[in-house]
Amino acid sequence: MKREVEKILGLVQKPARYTGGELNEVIKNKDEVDIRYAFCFPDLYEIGMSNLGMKILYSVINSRDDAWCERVFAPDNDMEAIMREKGIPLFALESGDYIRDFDAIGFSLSYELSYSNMINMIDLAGLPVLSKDRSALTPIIMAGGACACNPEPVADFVDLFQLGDGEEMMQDVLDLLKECKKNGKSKQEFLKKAAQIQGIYVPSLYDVAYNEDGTIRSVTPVDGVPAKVTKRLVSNMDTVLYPDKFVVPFIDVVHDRVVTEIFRGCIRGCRFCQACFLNRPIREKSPEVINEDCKRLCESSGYDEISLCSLSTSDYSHLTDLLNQLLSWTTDDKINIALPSLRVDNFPEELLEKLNEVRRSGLTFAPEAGTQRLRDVINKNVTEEEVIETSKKAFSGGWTAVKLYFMIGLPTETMEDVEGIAKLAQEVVDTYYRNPDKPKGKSVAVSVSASSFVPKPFTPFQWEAQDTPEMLAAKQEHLKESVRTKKVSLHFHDIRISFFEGILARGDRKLNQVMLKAWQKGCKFDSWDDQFRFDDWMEAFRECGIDPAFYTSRKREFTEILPWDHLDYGIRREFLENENKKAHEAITTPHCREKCSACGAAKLNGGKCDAMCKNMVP
Amino acid sequence: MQCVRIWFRKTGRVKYVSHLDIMRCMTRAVRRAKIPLWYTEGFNPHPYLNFLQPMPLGIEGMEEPLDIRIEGEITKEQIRDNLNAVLPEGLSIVRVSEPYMKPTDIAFASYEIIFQYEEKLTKKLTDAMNSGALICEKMGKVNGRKRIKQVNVSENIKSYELTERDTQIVLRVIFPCGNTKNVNPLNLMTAINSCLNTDLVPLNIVRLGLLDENLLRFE
Repeated sequence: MKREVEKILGLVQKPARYTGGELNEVIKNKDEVDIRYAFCFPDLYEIGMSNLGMKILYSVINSRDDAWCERVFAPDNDMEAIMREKGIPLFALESGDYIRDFDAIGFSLSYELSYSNMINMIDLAGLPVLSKDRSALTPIIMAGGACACNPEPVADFVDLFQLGDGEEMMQDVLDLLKECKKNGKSKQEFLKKAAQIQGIYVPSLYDVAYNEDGTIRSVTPVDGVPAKVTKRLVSNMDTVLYPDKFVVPFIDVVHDRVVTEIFRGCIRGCRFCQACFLNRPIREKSPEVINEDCKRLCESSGYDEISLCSLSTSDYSHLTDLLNQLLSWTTDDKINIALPSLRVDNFPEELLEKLNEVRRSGLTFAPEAGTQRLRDVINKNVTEEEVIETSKKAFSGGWTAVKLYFMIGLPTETMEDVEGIAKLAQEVVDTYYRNPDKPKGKSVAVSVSASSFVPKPFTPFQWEAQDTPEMLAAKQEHLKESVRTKKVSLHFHDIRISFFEGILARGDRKLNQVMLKAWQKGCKFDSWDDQFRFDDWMEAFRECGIDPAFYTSRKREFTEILPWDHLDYGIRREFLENENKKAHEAITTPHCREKCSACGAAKLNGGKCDAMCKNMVP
Repeated sequence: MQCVRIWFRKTGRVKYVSHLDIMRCMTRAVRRAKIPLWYTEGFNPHPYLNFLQPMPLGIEGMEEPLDIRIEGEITKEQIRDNLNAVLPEGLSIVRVSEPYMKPTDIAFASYEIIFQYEEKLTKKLTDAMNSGALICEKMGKVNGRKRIKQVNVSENIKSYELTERDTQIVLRVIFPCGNTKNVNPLNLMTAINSCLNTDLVPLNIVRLGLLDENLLRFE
C-alpha cells in the first residue's frame, strides 16, 4: 500500500474496503508477469465482493503464470472526495498500484445502474473516459456481464465487450493482448483482431445509422468484422475452471459464503426474465464435482454456509443426490446449505427437514403476478393452489414469516391483477390462521415486495411499452389500498429508478452523450435510493434533446431494428416473437423438460442442451 | 469444555480492519484450523470466542488476548501452529496459554506512537505532553443526548516517555483500559495536533500490551 493512501485511511469510513490483504488474495511479482489486469466492479466493495463472476474470473486470470489480476471497487463518496483532493488516482487492492499503469481494465456490468460508476472510475483512474481519447494499446478497457447484451448506451466509453461466458474468452483476449503488446501493435490493430474472437464485440467497428424518427436504420460492420457477434459459451461445466479459493473479506459483505453454480440457463422460460434467455442452453454440473468444489471452498475459506447458485435450484436434475452428498459432511461441520431460487412444488419434504437441522432460513415465494391470467401471460407456471399448499406445509413446520415477490407494470396488467396481489397475500395470512397447530400467541408476517417491471433485451417482452411512472404510481397506490391487514407489509421499488433502468436497458448509442453529461453533473451510485439524482439525469436528457419516453413507453414493432439486433445470444428471433404473441393471448409455454420449444440456443453448444427433452429440436 | 487464551498479533494493513470484522475473521480461522471447538447449544450453534479488549481502528496490536472454548484433545502448540497456518497476512498467534487472570483485571494498556523524525519535534511533543491541557473533542452523551464533548486527555495519561531512535521519534504512553475507562490513542493524536496547531500523521500506533492495576503484564 502506498504511504499517501495509508495517510488518508484514518479519515474514511470502513477503511478495510481499500486495504486488501484479505485471506486468499493473490499476490504475484509484478516483474514476472506480462499482463496486469485490474478487475473493476463499479459499486462498493460490499456489493462487488459478493459477485460470483468476479470470483470466477479472478481465478481464471490468476491461473495464468503470465498475468496478475487484482480487484478494484468504486470508492465511497468520502474516500473519493479525499482521493480527488489529494490527487490520488484509483488503485488496485492487492498491490496498491495505480490502475492507469495496468495493461487491461475490465468492468463487470451486472446492472444498468452501475454505468455511471464505471465512467467515474475510469476518470478516477486518471484516464480519458471516452474510448476514442485513449490512443495507447494499454490499458485496454473491456466489460462483460449481463449488461453486455446491450452495451450500446456505454459503447463510447469501453473499447471492447465480452458477450456470454467469460472463462475461455478471457484467455483468448489476454493471449492476443500479450502478443500485440510484445510486437508493438497499435490499439486499432489489437481491436480489429479481437473482434474476430467469438464473443468479442468492438463497438467502434460497427457504424450505426438512424432513421428520422430516431429508430435504427442500419448497423454496418467495418474492416471485415463479423456482421453478427455471437456470444461465447462454456460447453462443459465439469471441466471449466472453478475457483478452489475465494478471497474472504474482512468486512461484512452482502453475500458472505461459499457459492457454487449447479447449472447455467433455465428451463422455465418466464417471459420477463432476461437471465433465462441470456444463459441458455442448459448446462449442468455433475453432483460429484459440485460436492468436491464445496468441500475445498469450505476448507479454504472457513465459511459456515454454502449457497447453491442457479436460476431455479429445484430444476437441477440431480438435486437429491447432490444434497445427500453434501449433507453427509456439512451437518457435522455445522455448515448450513442455502437454496435460493427454490421451487417448492417439486421438492421432497424430508430433505427440507434435513436442511434445517443446522440453521433455519427464511421462506420466499415468487408468484410474480397476482392473478392466474397474468401469470399465464408471463409464463410463470405457478398456481395459487401451489403457493397456498406450500405455505400450509411451511406453517405446520413452524415457520411464521413468508416473503412474496411480485412485479407490477407487467404487459396487459389491469387494476384487477394488482388487487390479486393483495388477495393472494391475504389468502396466505388466512392459511396461517386455519392451521390447527399454529404456535400460540405468535402472529404471521407476510412481506410482499412489488418491484416494477422493466422490459429487457433478449426477452419476449423486448418490444413492449414500459408503464409510465404515473401508471406505476397509481398501481402502487391501488395495491396499498387493497391491503387491509397489518399482517401484510408492502415494499416497493423507487419508480423513478425503474423508469431510468428502463431507459438504459433498451437504450441505443445516442445515450452515450447523456451518460457523459449526467456523469459530469455528478451522477453516480444510481442504484442507491439515497444517491440517485433523477433531476440531474432528466436535465441531461433535456440538454441533449433526447426524450426518455422514446426508450421506455414506446411499443416497438417486430420490424424495427433493435439496438442489440447485431448481437446474438443463440435465441432465435422468431421464437421470441412467437412467445410475445402467445403472451398477449395468455397462452403458456411448457418448460423445456416437458417439451422443447426450439429457442435455438442449443445450436451454440453443438446441439446439446441438458434440459434433455426427448423431442428436442436442435 | 475447556477455555484457552490465545494471544494474537495484528500488524500491517490489517490494522484497518475493525474489531467486529476481526472477530468474524477469527471465527472463520478457528474453523479452518480444525480446532475441536465447543459450540453454543442454541438454535444457531456457533463457536464461543471472547475478545477481551477491543482494538481501536488503525492501531497495531502486539499481544491481544482472545479466549476460546474447546472440546477434545489438542495441545496449545497445535492450536498455535494450526491457526498460524490459516490466518491472513498480518494476523498471527504469538502464544497460547491458560486464562490466568480474569478479563476484569485489565486496567491499563501501553501504546507506542511512532513519528517520522523532524527537527525540534521531540521538544514540541514534550511541551504538548507537559501542557496538562490536551483537549480533544469527541462525540459523547450529555444527559442522554448526543453532544460534542471536550475531553482533557492529559488527565488520563498514566505515564509517558519520549525517545528518539534512528529516524523516528517514539512516544510511549500508558492509558487506562478496560471496562470502566478507556482512552483511544487517536484522541491523544487529535489533541496534540490541536495543541501544536499541526496535522501530524504518525507512521504507526502500536498497542504493546495490556496491564493490570499494578501495571504488571496482564496474563
